[in-house]
Amino acid sequence: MAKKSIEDLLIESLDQSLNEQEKLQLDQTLTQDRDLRKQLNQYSKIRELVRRKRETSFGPFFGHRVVNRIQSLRMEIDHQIIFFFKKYQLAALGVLVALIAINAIFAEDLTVQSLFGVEENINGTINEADSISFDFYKDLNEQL
Amino acid sequence: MDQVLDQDLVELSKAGDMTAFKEFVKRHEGKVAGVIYSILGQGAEAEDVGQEVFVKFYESLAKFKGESAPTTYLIRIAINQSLNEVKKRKRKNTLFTSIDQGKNVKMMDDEDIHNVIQFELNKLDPDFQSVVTLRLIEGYSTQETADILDIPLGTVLSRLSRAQKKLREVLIKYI
Repeated sequence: MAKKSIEDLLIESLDQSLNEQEKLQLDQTLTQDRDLRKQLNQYSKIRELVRRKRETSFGPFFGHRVVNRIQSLRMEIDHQIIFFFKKYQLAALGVLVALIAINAIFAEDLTVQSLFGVEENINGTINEADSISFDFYKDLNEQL
Repeated sequence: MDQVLDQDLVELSKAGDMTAFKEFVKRHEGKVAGVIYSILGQGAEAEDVGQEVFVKFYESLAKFKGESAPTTYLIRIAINQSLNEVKKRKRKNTLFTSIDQGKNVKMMDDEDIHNVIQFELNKLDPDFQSVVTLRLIEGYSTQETADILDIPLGTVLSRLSRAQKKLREVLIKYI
């Protein structure tokens, strides 16, 4: 560690951070050096000047304003999330409407099944093979 | 509420208790204001920065593991936000400059000298300004300063020494 200058020892003495040897060295030098004593005095005065009392409050109801700001930020984030998904919701709706329109244009007969693209047999009924069983619990019980 | 520890207020705030958080703000507003005003001086931006500090603290609560005291972390945020504001002002060239440098020193009152000090402090390197603010202005010990800034004690002492030498060069005519 580099040897500290006398000026460094002087400054650090104001923070009471010198070891015994350093204190002794500084005291001996201060006794003999008037300019150094003057310098010590200047550093003390600068600290006093810098330490002038400052405002320590942001005014009344500051806590209230902080909480309001946090709550506003939360609402803004919620709106942004809703807006973000809204775009995709509208796009999906648009795609669905377009598909229904295309089905309507190309369907021979305008039925609910034809609009949703469900294949029909000649008699206009749905093929059993194409129908999806929704009896989930029956299937589950059979498996168990 | 007075008996509740800071750590407990932080845990309650994490769980969404805004009353607990408001109490935490009330308890530590003074310390945060002291740090911010020391770096930025008086002005409307100081309260904006103050609010930012507590908002950032709140937003980081989920990540706060309690390795340091809540106030240590809070003051660290206050220092960083204040120094960011100083950088912004430097870029916009609106750093605190309302001092009459031509004024005779003997004619200066306390307010004038305070303005000069604020001006000179803002000219310091941010690393020096933060140790001067915490140690010399706010009165934290050198160890507390080291903990808040998360730097070694030796670094604090070294920066303090260099900062005071710089300040002495410019402020010597006022003492």
